[in-house]
Amino acid sequence: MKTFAFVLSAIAVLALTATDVKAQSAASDCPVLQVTGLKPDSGMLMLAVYDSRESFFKKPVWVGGQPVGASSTMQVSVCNVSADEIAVTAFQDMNGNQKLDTNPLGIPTEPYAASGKPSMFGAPTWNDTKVAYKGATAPIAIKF
Amino acid sequence: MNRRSFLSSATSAALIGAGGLSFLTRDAEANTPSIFKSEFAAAAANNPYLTPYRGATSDLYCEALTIEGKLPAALRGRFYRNGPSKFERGSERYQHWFDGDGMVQQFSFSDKGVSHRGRFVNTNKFKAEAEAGEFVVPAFGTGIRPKQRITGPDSMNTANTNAIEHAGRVFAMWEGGSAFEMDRDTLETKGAVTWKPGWEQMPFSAHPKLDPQGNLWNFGSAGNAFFVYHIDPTGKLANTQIAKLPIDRKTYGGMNHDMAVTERFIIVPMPPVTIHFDLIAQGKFGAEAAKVHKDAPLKIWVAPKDDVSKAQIFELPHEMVFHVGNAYERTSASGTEIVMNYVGSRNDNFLAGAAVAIMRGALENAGESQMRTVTMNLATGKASLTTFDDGSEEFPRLDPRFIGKAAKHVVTPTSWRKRPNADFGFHALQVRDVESGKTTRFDYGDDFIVEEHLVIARPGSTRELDGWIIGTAFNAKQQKTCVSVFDAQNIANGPVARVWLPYWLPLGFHGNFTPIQNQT
Ligand SMILES: [Fe+2]
Repeated sequence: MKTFAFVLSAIAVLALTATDVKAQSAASDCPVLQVTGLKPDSGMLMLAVYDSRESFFKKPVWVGGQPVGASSTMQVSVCNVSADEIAVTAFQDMNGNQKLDTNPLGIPTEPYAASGKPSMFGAPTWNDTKVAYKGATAPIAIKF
Repeated sequence: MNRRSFLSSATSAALIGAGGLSFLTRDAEANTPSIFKSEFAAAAANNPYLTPYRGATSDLYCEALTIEGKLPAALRGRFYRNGPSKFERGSERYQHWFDGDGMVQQFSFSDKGVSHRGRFVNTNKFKAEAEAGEFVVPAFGTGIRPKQRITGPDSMNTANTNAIEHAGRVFAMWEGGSAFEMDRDTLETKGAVTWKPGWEQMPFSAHPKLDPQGNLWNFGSAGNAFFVYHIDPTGKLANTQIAKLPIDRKTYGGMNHDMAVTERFIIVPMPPVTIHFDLIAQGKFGAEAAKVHKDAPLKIWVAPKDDVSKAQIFELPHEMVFHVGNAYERTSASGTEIVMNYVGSRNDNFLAGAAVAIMRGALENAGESQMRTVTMNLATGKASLTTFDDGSEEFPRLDPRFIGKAAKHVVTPTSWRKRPNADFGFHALQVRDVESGKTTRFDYGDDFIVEEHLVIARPGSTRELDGWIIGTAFNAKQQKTCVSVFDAQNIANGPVARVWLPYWLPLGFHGNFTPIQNQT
């Protein structure tokens, strides 16, 4: 429950910073997340960036949220993270309640995704999802 | 219930009730899906009884079936069945009978005769695999390496176990995930059914019970999480309940398959079975992956319909149970009793043995499955058991007007003699008086494999078994499937009519009949 509470608060922060994030997405010298497979014109894209195995799913170093427009693809710049490697988790908040909804068994009922090569089965791990951040030249793919 | 954090590892564990899955390299020496495919092909070429296990290759339609004998004029309605019907893609063949994709069969009995439509349930899994031309997700008993992301049970849902029409909607059901709705007239798949917001991908079991008032009762379970659904006669969700089962997940919870309802209670047999998805993921199958714990008792969970948190559990001697016949309440001097009959197997070798062997074309003894009657006293917590050991039987059904009431008769396919090439299938039909144990039987003969049979009430009648018994059977000599229609009170004389398809169908599990009163 501790973790859950934290994620909630992180996501609350994220809602407040949505406008800033949008402004940031134009920045050219920061690594870019290339998000694909979104359901167009529905809800918000919610992003969380972690910088270590220890903080994965616990304490993001960067969060972002942006309304999903007519395109199923979005690009978001992630600036000012001091890490060589990051892992990115994402979900599409369809109903705007700022959390990833689950059914009573804990299975997500909204679309989710992660960077790297997330396991085909179950939740992403740091190992599966970590990608190079510092000096990244190609966009970091997040496939829904 | 626990609300989990964003994609916690507990979320993945909940996906199918299993612990952290790692798709390791398949043991090179194990029997692979490709070996199953070639072995089955060789065996089926020499055994005409194996034909239905080839599976269907396309949807089916026949406008007018051949009618033998005289169909009762008042027998009008839609007879649905479902079962695993697609077993092979590319070079692979499933390693468990339960793995095949569902195909709903619909026989329409009208003034014009009998027509048949069979359609694969177009699940997310079926769509993805049809497009890919190969299996892309793991199955219940086959460790297919996932080639696309599994986001919950419905990623693997085959909707292959039962079909029912309720309030004009047709549902194809599985055990671990959502029911899929199909169009009543075309059997086109409409999609997964979510009964209420936030209940996407929730388990909706394959054996809902339709009470005589038209309410549909069902449960779903995953490990020790248990859910109850009550859908009213108009098709609206009336209520759901959530309960936590007091069972040891190391021994129980892998296959809570069927249920009974009485006027006030819901009853679910909980056999000591665990399914080890982590091992299946490594390519293990059969007894290594589906464990029937031989030393553990059978548990029967009994709960008031209006508050399932007040459940009681009765323990019975060890055995495997898939199916319940019926249950009812009665009052005794020492308190309320629930009387329930079910089919049990003390030496079960079906789940992890015969149902695996058949997929490679091998015939293995499934163990005896026999009818029992258990009487459970809710006041004393004591249970007593009666066994009927005069043959092997399964797929029990009864007069639908007596579901939850003191029905006297149960109908089952049965076998009492061996058939060397068809030992996996039943050769006869029987109606058992569950009070005296006496049976009336009809032997279909050596050419047939007999499937589940249903009791259909004669319109306007009220007496138990006033009506017909209908069911499918595969004829190995003709390589065709038929529907037989019996006078329910006199099956020994054989069917009054038989309706023949010009083709065979995969052997199925379960079905239901929806009567139509007014013909157009
Ligand atoms: Fe069943």
